[in-house]
Amino acid sequence: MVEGPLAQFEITTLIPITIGGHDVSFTNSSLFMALAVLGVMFFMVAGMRKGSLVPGRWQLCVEVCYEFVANMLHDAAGRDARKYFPFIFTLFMFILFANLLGLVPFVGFAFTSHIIVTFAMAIFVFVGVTLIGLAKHGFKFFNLFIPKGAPKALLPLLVVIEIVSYLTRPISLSVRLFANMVAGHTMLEVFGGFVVALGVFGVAPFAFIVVLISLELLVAVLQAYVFAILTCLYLNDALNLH
Amino acid sequence: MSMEKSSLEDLSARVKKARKNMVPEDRPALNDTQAYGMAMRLVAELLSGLFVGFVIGWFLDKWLGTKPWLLITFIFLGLCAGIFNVMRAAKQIEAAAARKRRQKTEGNEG
Amino acid sequence: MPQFDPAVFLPQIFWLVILFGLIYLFIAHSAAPKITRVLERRQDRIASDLEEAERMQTTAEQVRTDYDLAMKAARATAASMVAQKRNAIKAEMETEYNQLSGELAAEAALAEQKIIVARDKALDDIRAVSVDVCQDIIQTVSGLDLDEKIISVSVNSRFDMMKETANG
Repeated sequence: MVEGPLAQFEITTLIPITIGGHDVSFTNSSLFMALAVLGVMFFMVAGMRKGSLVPGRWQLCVEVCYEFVANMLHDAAGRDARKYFPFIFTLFMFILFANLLGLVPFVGFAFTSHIIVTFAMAIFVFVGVTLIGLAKHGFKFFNLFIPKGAPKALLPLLVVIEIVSYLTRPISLSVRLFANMVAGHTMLEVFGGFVVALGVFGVAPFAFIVVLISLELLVAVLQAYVFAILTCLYLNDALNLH
Repeated sequence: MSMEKSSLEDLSARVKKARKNMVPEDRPALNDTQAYGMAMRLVAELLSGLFVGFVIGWFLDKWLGTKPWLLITFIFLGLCAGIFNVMRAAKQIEAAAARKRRQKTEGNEG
Repeated sequence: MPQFDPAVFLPQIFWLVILFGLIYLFIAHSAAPKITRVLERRQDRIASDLEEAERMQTTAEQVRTDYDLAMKAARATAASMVAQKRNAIKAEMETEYNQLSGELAAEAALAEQKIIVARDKALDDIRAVSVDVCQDIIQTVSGLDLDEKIISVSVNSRFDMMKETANG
């Protein structure tokens, strides 16, 4: 633990690759993305292998995830949003597996603790949702920025605030996931350092670490959920205005 | 005879119940977990409002050479936007809770 | 913090796009439709089973109604048969009773007649004897030879009184 609690977020190149002079090396982050992808694939393929009428335990897990996301999307964004279900489902499962893989002791690396990754996903959602809104409503989409029942004199100010508020979406979306993951992992690392440093007396911080890890498991699921539900709500704004 | 009758009525009740379960009831738009998720938004909402205001102000100042007035203005606007977003999220939580309460009382009456 | 080093941005975005795209394609074209199919199949199965159950319930209720009706009809038939039989027996008994009591009455009347005849005959005999006895007694006691007719008037009046009491 000489490197300090932030060393765990270090990117290490595994396979150096450059395309057109740009560095696109396969790193530990890429490795865990690949693991998350393989994990999700395995989870689903193995779970739905039989696709039986009466589901087994594993199949039930897959179905619960599916229905959870489907209900969330339907409740938050209505019937029209159905066709975006595969995307939301992918988003949720991908972030969930990323967060959980990050909690694997000693080797885990959560690429969701990298702002650029969460920001890339958030900006994709943001741009995508805005384009969907524009495609569906045309210029009426900008009604989104005009608050209802506001006094005329304040309207220009309110519209500017609404636009700024709209622009905060990708930031808040990405920062929330990023900050939660970084905070959790840093805490775990710090207390892990205590356990090692205290030797025999490290039992107390160890017990605390167990509690902390269960808390982090909850956060891992919750943040995947929050990312997905907010995407659904943004989608709802774009599809139905308000 | 009485046993036959009761078993027939039982069957009818069971079939009715199963039929009712088939039709997905109207779920509330936001449930408990969702309300909790909403609450998780609040802090990030406030901070990102400030951040976006700062960035917009910074670039506009640079572009228009009005340093530092637009920066100050937009930090203020960003703060307002953050507060708006927090209020909006709070309203959603409140609406979800109200819906929940209403549903509960309806359930009790029904 | 290593996260803010711009050097790590591009490779991560690059691989994120590729791998997220991969998992999206997998889910959108393989996993999600498969789960949808399974869920729909289950829903259909449940719906058809439920329909079957409802159909059978209707049949069962129909059978039950039929059974109730048949039972009711049978009970009514039985009741009417019992009543009919009872009436028949009652009528038969009545006629037999009437016949018997008629016969008995006739016999009784006949017997009564016989008794009356026998009694009258006995009375007449006693009267004749009484007249003779009276004549003899009077003759012996007073030496008077009373005419039979005088004595018979007196005796007859007594006997008429007796007959009246007997008949009355």
